[in-house]
Order: sequence, then structure tokens, then C-alpha cells
Amino acid sequence: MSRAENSRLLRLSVSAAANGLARNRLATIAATMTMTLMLLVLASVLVIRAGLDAALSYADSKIEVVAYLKAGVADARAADFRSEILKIDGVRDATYVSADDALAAFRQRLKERGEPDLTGQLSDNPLPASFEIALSDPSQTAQVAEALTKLPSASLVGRVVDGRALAENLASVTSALRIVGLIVVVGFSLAVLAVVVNAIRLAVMARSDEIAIMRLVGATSTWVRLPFIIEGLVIGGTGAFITLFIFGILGAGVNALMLNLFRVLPVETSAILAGQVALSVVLAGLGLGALGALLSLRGRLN
Amino acid sequence: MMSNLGSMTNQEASTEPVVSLNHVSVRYPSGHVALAGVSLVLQRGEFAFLVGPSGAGKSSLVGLLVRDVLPFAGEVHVAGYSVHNLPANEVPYLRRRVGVVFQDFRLLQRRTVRENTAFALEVTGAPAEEIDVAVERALRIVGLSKLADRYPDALSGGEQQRAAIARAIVGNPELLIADEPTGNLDPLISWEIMELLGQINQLGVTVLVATHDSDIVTTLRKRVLGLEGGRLIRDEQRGTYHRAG
Repeated sequence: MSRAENSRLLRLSVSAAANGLARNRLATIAATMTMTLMLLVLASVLVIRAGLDAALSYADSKIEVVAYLKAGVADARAADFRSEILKIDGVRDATYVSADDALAAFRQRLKERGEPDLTGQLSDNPLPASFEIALSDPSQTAQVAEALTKLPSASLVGRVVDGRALAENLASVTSALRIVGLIVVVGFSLAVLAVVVNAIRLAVMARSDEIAIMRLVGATSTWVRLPFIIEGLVIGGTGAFITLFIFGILGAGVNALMLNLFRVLPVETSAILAGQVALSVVLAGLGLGALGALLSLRGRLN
Repeated sequence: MMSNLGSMTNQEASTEPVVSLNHVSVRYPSGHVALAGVSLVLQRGEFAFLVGPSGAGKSSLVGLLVRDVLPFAGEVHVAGYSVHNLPANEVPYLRRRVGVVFQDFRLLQRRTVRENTAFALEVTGAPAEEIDVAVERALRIVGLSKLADRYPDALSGGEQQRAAIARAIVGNPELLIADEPTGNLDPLISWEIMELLGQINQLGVTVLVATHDSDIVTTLRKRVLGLEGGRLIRDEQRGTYHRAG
């Protein structure tokens, strides 16, 4: 087709689509509202998933083995032990947390939570000193924990805590939530598709005479289909626009909520995430609209 | 786009028949054989009647020519297209070369006569300036220039059929098929429509009229193709509606 013909095709199709949408106002509104609802769910699932991913990767990065020392180990002795720890394969770093530091951190946490600090009542510091051992590969926790017990100074260690188990629990919760999210989005998409197909099928039926004449006088299938595909795109595009508008209004609140829920999510990620969510919403809206139109035209053009 | 209704240079240059059926059979999925071994040729500029009782196969033959119906066997050539093995994406281009009018007019009620006529060209992507010229010419040929801005429901049956004919010829077809064009019209109007079809034929367009109107067929003494039980039982030049003798 020439450029001029393309522009004529587009102009006439847009005008036919506008007429079609106006003629079936109720079905169009119903389809657009359902589309908006689905896209809101999609956007929410994407935001929640991003938060969970961030939490998971934070947890992964924080996976470490903690070796609690027995009471009364001198700081100098601990420094020697640190150099032994650093020689273990897979250990990236080892941070010494003295008993005093541990008590100070504990008091700080109590203060943050607004709980009463009763540690002042204690005559001694009950908390042990420890080494927080960061790993180059978070999956190596078991091997590192095992190696700790075989070091020359292993007798200094009271207890070893393997941080892997906690992260694995978090990962399994996250993957379960991902599956639930996927099911919800797919389920809503199918419902949206059904409503869009219904709306456009009404438009096809209302224009069945016109379609018959178009076929009779030699319009190609592109000319017959395009107005309906445009109707689908308008429904999808409008749904996406409303969704993004609602998200825009709620944006600040959502951001604050996310930062609250997933404290680890860096603020600068929000802009990238918003872009990704907007793109997904627009593509899903337009894609479902066009797909719905094509499905509703199946078998009606031959 | 060609615009030679009335100056048939392109069409005169070709000596190929506009319609050629070679041992064509049509069988529907139900098993019913609608056409059996039909062979016929319509030369450029011919005028022919297609007659026969209901169920004789007239509609199937009309359907074949616009590729609404596919042959079970045989070859169908229309306006230079091998219809029997025409790919689906080329069907629209065949249909642009064949104009069709029906007993029930099939006009779009929300469009004026002019818009109905222009619609046939708009949806094939013709440029606006070509459409304007072609529409005015088609309306002039059918005598509806003065009623161009009326909607179909403000027209008489004869005027509606004229509008349908304008739409069928606006794209300058090589073949015009009229399927019972006078079935809904009173005798006087029927004669006017037949006269119009004759004028269009005079302009060089091949015309095939499927009809039950025995008066018209017998009076006009044109070529008559007689179908019965899916078979072409007669092909007479200057024939009558009923078989002679």
C-alpha cells in the first residue's frame, strides 16, 4: 500500500472506530472499566513483586554466618581468631562485634521499637562477642560453619548461627507470592479478554451490513479489521491511561508504603520501577485490546 | 485506478473472455451437488440472462464468480483471475473487477446515496479526488445525481436499485452481475432497471442477469443460459425464458 493509501486507511478506520465506540457506549464503558481493574491489579502485583524481589536480594546479600564467642575472650585473642577466619575458603569478611557493641546495638533496637530498656538493671553484660562473617557465595554457609569448628582457635566459639535458613524461608514465601500474583493476573486477563471480545463482537454485529458490503466491493481484510482493532486499542489504551492516572495520584502514598514495607528498597529504584510498571500497564492494555478485537473477528470475515 | 466506463480502451484491448467456466462442479459440505460439469464463456461486452427454477444452481453460479463459493471440480476464470485457485488475499482484487447487485439492494441505511456509492471506493483505498469523479459519473449513469444526498429510506424501490447499481459500477468493473434485480420491483420499474442495465452493457461492461422474470427475458431476446438441477441445459443466443418447443 502506498503512503497516501495508508493514511486514508488510518483516517477512515479511526472514524469508523469512533462511530463504533459511540454506538456501543455501554459495552465500551464496561470493557474499559474491566480493563482498568485488571491493569490496576497487574500494576499492584508488579509493585509488590518488585518489593519482594528487593527484600529477597537484600536478604541474600546479608546472608552470613555468625560465630558467637564464649564469654571472656580478650579482644587481642579475638583479633588472632579473625585472621584464622579470613583464611577459610568463601569468606569475604569478618566483622568483630564486641560484647559492648552488641549490648549497645541491642539497646538501640529496644529504643527504636519503643520498648523499655531493662538492661541497666543487669550487673553484667550477658551478650557474647561475635564475628559476623560475610561470604563471597551465600550458598556456602554450611561449609563455612563447618570449617569454623575445625580452626585452631575453634574452642573460642560458643555457637555458630547459619543465616541461610532464614533467607530460604523468605525465598519460599516470595516464590509462593509470585505464583499467586501470576495466577491472579492471568485470571483477570482472561476475564478482560472475554469482556473486550464481547464489546467488540457487539460492534461487529452492529456493522455486519457494512462488513458484508466491504467484502462484496473488494475491501481487503486489513480495511475490514482495522476499525475494530483500533476500538480494542482505544479500550486498552484508555484503561491503561486511567490506571496510570490512579497510580499517579496514589504514587506518593504507594512509594511511602513501599518504603515502609520494604525498608531496604532504595529510593532511586522507584523511578525505574514506575517506568517499568507504566510500560507493562500500557503494553498489557493495548495488547489485550488488540487481541480481544482479533478474537472477536475470528470466523466473521470469510 | 482505471476510469474508463464509457471509454473502454483497456477492456477493448483484451480479447480474453470475462467469464470462463470449464467443467465446473460445486458440492456443498452437506453433499448436495449445486452445479455439475458446467462450462460456459461470456465474452467481453456480452449481455446474458441466467434462468432456471429455484434450486437450479443460479445463486451458486453467481457465488462462484465472486469466489463466495469454491468449485469442487473444474476451472473458473473471471476478469483475468483464476478463481478456482485464487489465494484468499487476492479475492478482494477480483471483487473490485466484478460489480454485484441484489434483489434486496443492500444499501447502508445510515449513508446517503452518494456516500453509499463512494463507500465502495473508499474501502478499497482510492484517493478522494478519484472517488468524487467516479461517484458523480456513476450517479449520472443511473440517473440519481439529483437524489444523491437522500438516504435510502427516502427513495422508491427503483431508485434504491439504481443506487445499488451505482455502487456496483463506480469501481468500473469488467463484469456486472445482477441477481434478481427486479424481484422487488413493479413491472414498469423493472423495465427501467433492465433498460439501465442495457445502457451499462452498451458502455462495454459484460452483464449477467439472474432472473425469474419471464416477460423481460422473452421480450429482450438476449443470450439465455438455462440451468436446471445444477446442469447447464441450454445456452441460446436471442433466447426466451422458456425452452423453445
